[in-house]
Amino acid sequence: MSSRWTKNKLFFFCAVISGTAAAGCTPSFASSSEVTDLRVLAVQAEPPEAQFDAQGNVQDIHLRILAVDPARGGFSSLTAALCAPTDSRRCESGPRFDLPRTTRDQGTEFAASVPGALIAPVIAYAQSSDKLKGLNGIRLMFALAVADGDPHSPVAADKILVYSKAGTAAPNHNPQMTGFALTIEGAPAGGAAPGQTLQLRLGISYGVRPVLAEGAREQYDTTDLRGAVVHLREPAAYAFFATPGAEFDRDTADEPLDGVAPPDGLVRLRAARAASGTLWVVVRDGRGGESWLEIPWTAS
Amino acid sequence: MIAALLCTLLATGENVREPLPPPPKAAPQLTRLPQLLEARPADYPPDRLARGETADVACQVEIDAQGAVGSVTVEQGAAPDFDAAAVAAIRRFRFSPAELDGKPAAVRIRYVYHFVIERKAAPPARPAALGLIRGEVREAGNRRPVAGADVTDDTSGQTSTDAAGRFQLASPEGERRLTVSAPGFDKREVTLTVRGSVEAPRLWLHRTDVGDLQATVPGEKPHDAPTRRTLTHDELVNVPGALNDPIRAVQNLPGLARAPFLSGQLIVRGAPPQDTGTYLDGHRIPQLYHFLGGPSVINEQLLDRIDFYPGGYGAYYGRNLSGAIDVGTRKGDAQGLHGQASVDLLQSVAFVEGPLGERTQVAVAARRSYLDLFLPLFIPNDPNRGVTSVVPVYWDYQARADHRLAGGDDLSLLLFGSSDRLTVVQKGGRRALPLSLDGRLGFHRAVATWKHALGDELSLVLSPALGFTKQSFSTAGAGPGPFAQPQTGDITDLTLELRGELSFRPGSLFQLRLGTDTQLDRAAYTIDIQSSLQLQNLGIPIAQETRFSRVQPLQQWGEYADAVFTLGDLRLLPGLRLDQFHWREHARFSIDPRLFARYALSDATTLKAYGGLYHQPPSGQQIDADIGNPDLGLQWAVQVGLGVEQRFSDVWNLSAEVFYNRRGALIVRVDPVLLPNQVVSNPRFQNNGIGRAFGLELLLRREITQKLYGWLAYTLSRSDVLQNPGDPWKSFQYDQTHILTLVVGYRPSPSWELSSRYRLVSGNPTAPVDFATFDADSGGFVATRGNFGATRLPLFSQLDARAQYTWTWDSWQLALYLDVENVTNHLNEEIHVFDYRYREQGSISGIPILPTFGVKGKF
Repeated sequence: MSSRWTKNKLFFFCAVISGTAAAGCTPSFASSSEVTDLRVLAVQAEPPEAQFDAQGNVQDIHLRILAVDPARGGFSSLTAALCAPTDSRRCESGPRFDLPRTTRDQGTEFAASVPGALIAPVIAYAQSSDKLKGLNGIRLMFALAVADGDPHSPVAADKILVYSKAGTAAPNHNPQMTGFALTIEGAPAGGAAPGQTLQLRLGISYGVRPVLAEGAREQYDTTDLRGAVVHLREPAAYAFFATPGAEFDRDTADEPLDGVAPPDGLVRLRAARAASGTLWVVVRDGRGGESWLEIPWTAS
Repeated sequence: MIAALLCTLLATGENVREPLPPPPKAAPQLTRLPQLLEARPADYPPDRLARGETADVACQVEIDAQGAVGSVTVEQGAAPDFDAAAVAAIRRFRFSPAELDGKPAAVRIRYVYHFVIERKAAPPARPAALGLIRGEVREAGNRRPVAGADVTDDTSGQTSTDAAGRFQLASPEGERRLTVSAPGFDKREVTLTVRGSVEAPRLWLHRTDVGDLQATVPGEKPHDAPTRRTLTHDELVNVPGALNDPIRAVQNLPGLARAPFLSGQLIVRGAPPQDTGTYLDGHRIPQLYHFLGGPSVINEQLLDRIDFYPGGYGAYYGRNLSGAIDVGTRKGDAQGLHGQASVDLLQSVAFVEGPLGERTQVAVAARRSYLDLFLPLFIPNDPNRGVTSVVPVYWDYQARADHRLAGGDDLSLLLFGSSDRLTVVQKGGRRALPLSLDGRLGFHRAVATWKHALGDELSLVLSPALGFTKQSFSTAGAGPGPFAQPQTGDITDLTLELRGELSFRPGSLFQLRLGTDTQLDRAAYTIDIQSSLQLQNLGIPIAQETRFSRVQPLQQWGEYADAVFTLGDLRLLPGLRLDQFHWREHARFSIDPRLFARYALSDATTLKAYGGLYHQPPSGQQIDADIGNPDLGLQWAVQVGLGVEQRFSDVWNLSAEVFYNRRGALIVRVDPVLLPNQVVSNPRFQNNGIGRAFGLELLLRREITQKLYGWLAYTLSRSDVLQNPGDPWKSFQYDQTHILTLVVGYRPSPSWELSSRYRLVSGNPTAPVDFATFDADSGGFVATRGNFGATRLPLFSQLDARAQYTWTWDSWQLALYLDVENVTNHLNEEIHVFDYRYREQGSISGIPILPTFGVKGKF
C-alpha cells in the first residue's frame, strides 16, 4: 500500500517537473545486457585498421563475429557483404563484395575474411564518395545478417573497416582484457579470466571491474574537426551481457580517465536464482578496435 | 420619482486591438471617474407611471474629454418608451471629465437608468441646527474609493462621493442613520451622532455585481501591426491550464502551436522558439519562462497586458524571423497601498504597490520556488529503486517606480531580474548514471523611460536599459563518452540598450514615427568542455578537451520609420527598418521594408493585408570561432497575409487570416569536407536551410462582459524545412495541422470565477522506424527511419478546468483556487520511445490529471 502511494506521488511529480530524470517516467523495457535470444554482441576486425601500399596491395582482414543465441543455440547462418558506407547500413548501392554464406551448428562465433586483393573497386568507390576523400583512412562498411529461424531474425549488424595508406600512421590494435576483478561491498572477492567458470552466490551484489591488458589504450595522432593534428589517447568503453539468471545493474561503463575505479567496481553483478549461463564483457577503443571476454557462470 | 444613477465602466473593445502604430506602452490608468454634474430626470412614460411599472435601461454612453455626452446606445432595453426616455435623459447629462493618467480623456461607460416610483412620505421637519458629516466610502476587499456612491441620511439629506470616495453631508444634529449605496454594491447603513462637524467611520461596500472597472479610450488604442492579439489582465489570470501563470494563457491564441508537456515554448506559425522575440516593455529579455516549464519571469500582478504579434508586424520590432510577444507592465496604484501574496505547491509570490506622494507610484514583486526542498520528501531515496531527479530552483523580482515631473514629463524606472538553477536533488535508480549537474541562468535589467511632449503634435520617448546576464554550467556523468567527463562553462553578458522614438502627429490623416533600437553586448566566455573533435572516430566518441576563454562583442544597431496615412476608409502603414550587426571583423546589414493596409468595408467589417521582410542574426554560439562559424550571414523571412475582421456585436467578433512565411538562409549544421587543396573545411554551421509555413487562423471571441468571456481559436497550418540543398523537404518538428482551442470563463457572482479550456490538436510529426541495425563500433542499435512527417503522434485532446472562490472582508480578500489540468485524464502521447533494439515501442505521455491549488491573499 505504502509503495503504491509513493509511486502515485512520484508519478505526480514526474508530471509536474519534466526535469525529473526520465528513469521515473519512461516505459520499462528489457535492458540490453539481458541476452535472451539471438544477438550480435561484437564484431572484431584483425587488424582493426588495414593498410594498402602504393602498388595496390591491400591487407586482408579477418573478422570474428560474436553472435550468441541462448534461446535456440543451434543452427544459424551468416551472410555478409562489403561496400561503401550507406545511411541505411545495408549494401544497397555502389559496388559491393559479397562474402560466402557461413553456417554453424553450435558455438557463439562466426569467422569471415575480407581478401584485400578482391576489394579494390569497393575501396575506390568509397574514397570517391567520401566527403573527406579518405582522410584518416578509407572506410568500408561490413554489413552482416545472422539468421537462426526465429521470426525476428535475421539480426542485422555492421562494422566500419578502415584501410589506411601504409606508412601514414601507426596502425591501430584491438584492445585486450586479461579478465575482471570482483569485489563484495568494496572488498576484493577474486575475479575471473578466460577459461575459468565464475561461481556466484545468490543474492550477493558483486562489483565488477574489467582489467585491461598492458598497452590496451593506445596513443595516436589524428586530424581533428578543425583540420589540426592532435595527439589523443584511446578511451575504453565496456558493454556487459549475461544470460538469464544473472544480471548487471548497468549495461555499459567507461574506463575512468585516471584508471581508478570505484571500490565497488564499474558495474554490479547479481545472481537472482540458482542457474548457470554465460556472461560477456566487450571493450571498444573508439577507433574500431574491440575484443571480448566470455565467462561461464554458475550460481548457487 | 427618483432616477437613481448607476454607472459601471465596462471594458469593451480593449481586448482585441488590431489597427495601427505608436510604440507599445503601458495602457493608461483611469485616475478619475467621470462625475455626474447635471442630470435632469427622464420623462416617465405616463401610462407606465399610472400602472406603477418600473424598469432599468442599460446604455453605453460615450463621454468626451470635456465631459459632454456623445453617443448613447441601448445595451439592454426594457421597452421602447422606457428606452427612448432614458436615452433622451442621458443625452442631456453633463459629467466632469474622466482622467487617464491624470489627464482629461474620453471614456465609454455603462450607465443603467432606473425608472423608480418614489413613495412620497412626509419628510420629518428638518431642525434648524445642522451639523456636517464627513467620510469616505471604499470597496471592501481592495480598499479602492467608490466614486459616485449615494449617501443619504434619514432626513432626506443627500450627497454623493467624489473620485476619492469622500463625501460631505450637511445633516441635522442628533442621532442620524446614514445610508450608502452604489450601483453594483450592497447597501450599507451606519448610525452616528452628529454634533457640529463629525467624521464618519470608513464605510465599506461589498460588491454584488461582477466586473472590474476598466476604460476604453477611443482614438488612443495602440496599434502597430495588422494582427495584434491582446489579452487583458482579467482574461489572463483565470485561464485554466496555465498553472496560474498569465503569460501561458497566450498559448491559447491562434498562430501558436501546442508546446509539449508543460513547456512554455513559443512556437509561432511553424517557426522554432528562437525565431520569436520576447520583450518586456519593448526591451528584449533573455528568457520569458523559468527552467523546465516553470512560470514566467514576470509577476502576474505587475502585468498590464500581453501583446502577441503572430506576424506581419511593423518596424518597431526587429531581428526576429517569426512572431513577437511584448509583456507590458503597469504603474503602481496611485490611490493607496495594495498588495498580494500567494502560496502554492511550487512557489510563493508577494507583491506590493502604492503611491509615494502625489506624483510617484511604486510597485514591487518577488517570487521564490521551493520544489528543491519539497520534492526530496516525496521521492524514494534508494540507490536501486529511486530515481535521479533534477529540479529547477528559481526566483525573480520586479520593481517599478513612476514619477510625473511638474512639467508633465513622465519618468519611470523598472528593475527586474531572474535566477534559475538546475540541481540534482536526489540520486538513485538501478541504471542511473553518476550524475552531477549545476546549471544556472540569471539576468538583471534596469530600464529607464522618459516621455516628453515637445508640443501638441510632437512627442519623444527615450528608454535606455542596462543588463547583466550570467549563464554557467558544470556537469559530469551526463551521458556516455565525453558527456561522462567533467565539463564547465561560464558566459557573462553585459548589455546596453537604447530605444528612442520621436512621434509626429500633425493631424488625424498622417502620423510618423522615427525610432532607434540599439543593443550592444559584450559576452565573456570561459569554456572547458570535453567534446568529440576527432574526425571519423568510430562508434564511441573520443573525448578531447577544449578550453577557451574570450570576449565576444556584438553590436546591433537598428533604425526604423513608421508612417500612417488615412485616406477615408483606407489606412496605409508603410514602415522601414534598417539593422546593422557587427561581431569582431564581421559586419552585416539588412533593410526590411514592411507594409500593411486596413480597409473599413463597413462599421463592422475590416479587411487587412500585409507583407514584410524580416532578418535575424546568428546566435552567440553560432558565430563563435571555436564552436561556430563567424562567417555566417543573416537569416531572412518574408511574411505576407490577408485577413478580415468582423464585429457582430459589442461583444462578439471574428478575425480570420491566411498567411504565408518563407524563410531563407537558415542556419543549419553541416559536415566537414576535404577541399581539393587537402585542407579540411569544417564550418560547422552554414546558411543553407530554407523553410516555409502557411495556414489559416480564426479567432471567434466574446469579450469580457460582466459574467461571461471566452474565445474559440483555430489554426490550420503546415510548416516544412529543408536543411541543405539536395535534401528533401521535411516537416517542422512541431508542425501541427489542426489546432483548436476553446476557452470559456464565467463569473456567476463576485465570489466565484469558473473557467475551462479544451484543446484538440494534431499530433506532432514523427519518422517511422523501418528497421534497426546493430552498430558493432558503438555497441548500440541504429534505426533506419522513413521521412520525418510520414507518421504522426495521435491526436492531442485535453480538457482543463479552474475554479476560484474569493472571500471578501472589509480591507482584504482571500482566494482559494483549484486548477485541474487534463480533467478526463486523457492519455496524450508526446514522444515515442523504443527498446534498445527498436523492437518494442512505448510512449511518454503528457501530463495525467493534474490538480494544483493555491491561496492568494490581497489587500
